[in-house]
Amino acid sequence: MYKTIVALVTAFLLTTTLAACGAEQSGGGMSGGSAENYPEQPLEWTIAFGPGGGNDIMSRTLVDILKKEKLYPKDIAVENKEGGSGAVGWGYVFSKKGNPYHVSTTSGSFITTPLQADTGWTYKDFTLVGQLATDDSLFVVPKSSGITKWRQWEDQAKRKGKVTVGGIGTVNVDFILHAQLAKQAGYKIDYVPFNDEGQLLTAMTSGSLDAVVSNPSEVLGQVSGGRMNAVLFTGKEALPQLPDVPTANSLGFKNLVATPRGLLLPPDVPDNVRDWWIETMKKVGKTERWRAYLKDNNLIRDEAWGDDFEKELDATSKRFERILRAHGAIK
Amino acid sequence: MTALTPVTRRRWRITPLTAFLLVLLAVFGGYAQMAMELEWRTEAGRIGPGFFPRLIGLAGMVLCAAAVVRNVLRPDTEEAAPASRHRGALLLVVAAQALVLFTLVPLGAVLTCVAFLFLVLELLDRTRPLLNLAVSVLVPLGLYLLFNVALGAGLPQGPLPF
Amino acid sequence: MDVFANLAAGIAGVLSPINLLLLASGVLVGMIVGVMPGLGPSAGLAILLPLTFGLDPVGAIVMLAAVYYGAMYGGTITSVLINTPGESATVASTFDGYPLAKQGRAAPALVIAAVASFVAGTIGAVLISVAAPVTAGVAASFGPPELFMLVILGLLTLIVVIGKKRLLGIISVLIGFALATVGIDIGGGQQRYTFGSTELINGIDFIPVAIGVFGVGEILWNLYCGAHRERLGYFDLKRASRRFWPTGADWVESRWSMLRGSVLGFFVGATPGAGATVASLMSYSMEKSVSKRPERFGKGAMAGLAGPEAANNAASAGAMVPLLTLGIPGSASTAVLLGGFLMWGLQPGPLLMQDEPDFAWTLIGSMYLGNVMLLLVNIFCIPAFAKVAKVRFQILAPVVIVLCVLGTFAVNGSIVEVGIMLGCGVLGFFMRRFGLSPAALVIALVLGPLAEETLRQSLIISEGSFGVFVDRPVSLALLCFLPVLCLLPIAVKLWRRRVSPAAVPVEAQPTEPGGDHEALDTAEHETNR
Repeated sequence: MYKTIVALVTAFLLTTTLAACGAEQSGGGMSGGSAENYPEQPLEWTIAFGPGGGNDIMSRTLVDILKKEKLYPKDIAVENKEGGSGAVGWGYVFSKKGNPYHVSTTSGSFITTPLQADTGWTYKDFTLVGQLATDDSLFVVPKSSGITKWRQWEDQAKRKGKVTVGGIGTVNVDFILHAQLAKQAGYKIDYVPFNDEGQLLTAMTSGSLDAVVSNPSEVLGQVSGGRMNAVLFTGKEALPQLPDVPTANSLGFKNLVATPRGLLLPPDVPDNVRDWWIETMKKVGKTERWRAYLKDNNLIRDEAWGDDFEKELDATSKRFERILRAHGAIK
Repeated sequence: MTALTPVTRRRWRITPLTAFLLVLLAVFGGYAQMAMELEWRTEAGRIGPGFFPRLIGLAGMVLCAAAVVRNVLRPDTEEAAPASRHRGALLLVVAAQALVLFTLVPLGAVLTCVAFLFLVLELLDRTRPLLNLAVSVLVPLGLYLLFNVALGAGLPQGPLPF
Repeated sequence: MDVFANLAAGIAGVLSPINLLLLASGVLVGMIVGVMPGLGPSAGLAILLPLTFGLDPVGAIVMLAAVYYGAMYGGTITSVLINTPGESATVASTFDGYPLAKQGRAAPALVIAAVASFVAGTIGAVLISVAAPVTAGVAASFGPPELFMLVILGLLTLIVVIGKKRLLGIISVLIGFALATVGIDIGGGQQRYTFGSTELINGIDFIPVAIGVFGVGEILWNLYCGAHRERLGYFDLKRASRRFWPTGADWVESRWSMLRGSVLGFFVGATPGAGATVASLMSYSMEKSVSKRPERFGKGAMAGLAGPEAANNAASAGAMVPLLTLGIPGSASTAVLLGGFLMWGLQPGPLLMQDEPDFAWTLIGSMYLGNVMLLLVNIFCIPAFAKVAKVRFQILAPVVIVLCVLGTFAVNGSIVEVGIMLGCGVLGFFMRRFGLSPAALVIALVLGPLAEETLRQSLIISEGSFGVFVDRPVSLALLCFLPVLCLLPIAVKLWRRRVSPAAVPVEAQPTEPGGDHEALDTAEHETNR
């Protein structure tokens, strides 16, 4: 009796494994469907980060708009695939070569993760739809420093010889920005990397740091609450909430990096599908809801489609690579 | 259960603990070796990425070696663990776990867990096949519903339609 | 009573039938989520956050606060019943909670834990009302040097956790530290021990390791000891097992522990980083230090469960202070809450409490009511949960393994983490077999990276000088506190001796059920000594 059951279960296991493997293989081939009638299948939307973060909020907003405005006729399934600084989620989309029913969104890690780890893909491998906005950074100093203008900061930094600045991570936008600003302005920095925003902010309030760069959403409260002064914003235009804070461009800084907020498809997706998505995202970009999202999350509209987007990513990636290599963070 | 008779018949016996410590010693050795390849201080003269790994690796080696020496010289200080008659069952369960690791994604959570539960339940208690069957079918189904339907935390689906 | 007017208003604002219903359902859902190994409060909040977007802000806050407490308590349930902490803050609850369950006292243990949480929640709410400004000031002065000192305080508790087996205990700690160095080095961005795997870039998470070495390791160990052949089952049900309520002696033993744990937890919890974890560990080691019978710790001392439970609960109230008054999230869970604030269109920051006092006090009020609801719901639920203790080991063992596998997978959808979890299960088995300390490993894994990170940050800030730890007042105060903490157990012992020179070690206390027992004594012996 016992042996029979075990044998049966084992046989069942084996056959289903084989069946599953078979299904997997055949699944890859028929994935495309006919490209003319796109879209005619449900969409799988992968978020390469956990719930609640910037990438997650943007993805869910986009999906919401696509559904509400009936821009995507079929169902959209959203899934968070977190891990390895985005490597897991984007790796999953990468594995869906040629399948037009997978979508994901970009972050800074879309460029940095392949630079520092052997992910098996880079941004070049994907079918890039376009960038809708950039997530820029605010450069803030403690109120107690008495500094209110970028000039004062520069003078103080040069006078001190070296300033201690902080941000999140090392292979990350924050560090690159500090390095770019210091180099172009001509002062020296000691960069202190942090793992999370809470510790970064308390390090600042405790008087350990001379300045930090941070996402506006995270520090606007500190600025309006009078604990920190914002002296520079890296976006193309000034932040609506802080119109008096000068942009980096207006102060003469060039080529500062930002987190690209865009859309991507798996590798080798037909051109007409990409064009369909470019048209659709242009429509999304015009909706009231998207405008509200940009405003609430302090993003700056900066659209670039298809090949233009790829060119921007090329340039950003090169900047990252050069600075990180000089710093010894990547080999 | 615990036999408190000191194991002093042969003095230089390699006890299981000694073997375990030797394995740990080797692991720490490899760890320290890799740590030596990381810089221990940065260009600016601060603590580098290899500083703590080196400390940990070396301290681990020293302590494991000390523990090995202590056990080889005085095996009686080792707490006598109960001699187990259930090594086979343990090995089978660990092997079944390893199988789960490889079948979870291709077969899906439900099938894998049903099979694992049934096999292990039968292994541990062969007297109640019906109860075992009921548990091994209902528990995975319930968990699947809870995770995938109620919480939306995607478990692997496998070839099953749900 | 002016101070409490805000709190009272906050609570009153929440009291409506709909909100009470949301509270009750939130607590239940949170508990169900929290009972899944791997899904702690932060994962639970993150999963359930999207559900609250359909509600009005007050309803959403109420629901989230309820889920938060439910999930925290769910983690306690698994810590007690299957020795599996759901997050690092409940590791300390396994030390005595699980031995209590094995003695057949799961229900009283869970009741004490629920009451401790309630007491801590009450004290936390009161302290937010009276001590928020002071606490916020201290929290704002916590830079890397202060955090480093705090982490060292947490690491010092390892001395208590390791106990007498020093050599093997320190080896366990080193294994934990070694696991913690996997991943990208935060100091310079280099990879350490990732072997090219992208899954390991972010390091080895606490959750799979804890589930492995505690939950699965314990199952494998009991299997090895032959628990599946024991007729009487996994848990000792011979005596006192039918009692639901804790005995009078339990209350006496744990009442001061709850109060101490609450106050300690609130203030330590207000610091960013590992507040709740450090708080619960410090509470455990403090309880053991001041206890009249420290030898019972680790074998089922109620005080050893009540203290850490109160501390980790009060810590979540404490973590609200920097969140609301400074706009700084101090823990993973408050970071998720902060994400929620943004989605509700609130700007977290130093002005939140001034600009949106109603919102802030509603949140605090809901957290308090969440605690009350938790206690009420639990009076009905604990008997059901405690029934788990009556399931035979043959059935419990594979079901727990399946729970661990699916729970680990559900957190990040990563099969690599399931592999890490199962690998750590085998490691946990060997650690028990040879008398190493799984708890020390897990604590080292949580605190090790924080210690390295904060030390390196401090030294960059100070340009390489260790003087930074003495120059800053809060850091200096913590530094002075270090020897106090080390000497406390000795001082207490000396003081006891002077007060009652005749007192002999009190081991045999016939009134206490479950002090010693035969069935699985070997297992007990091994894991706890």
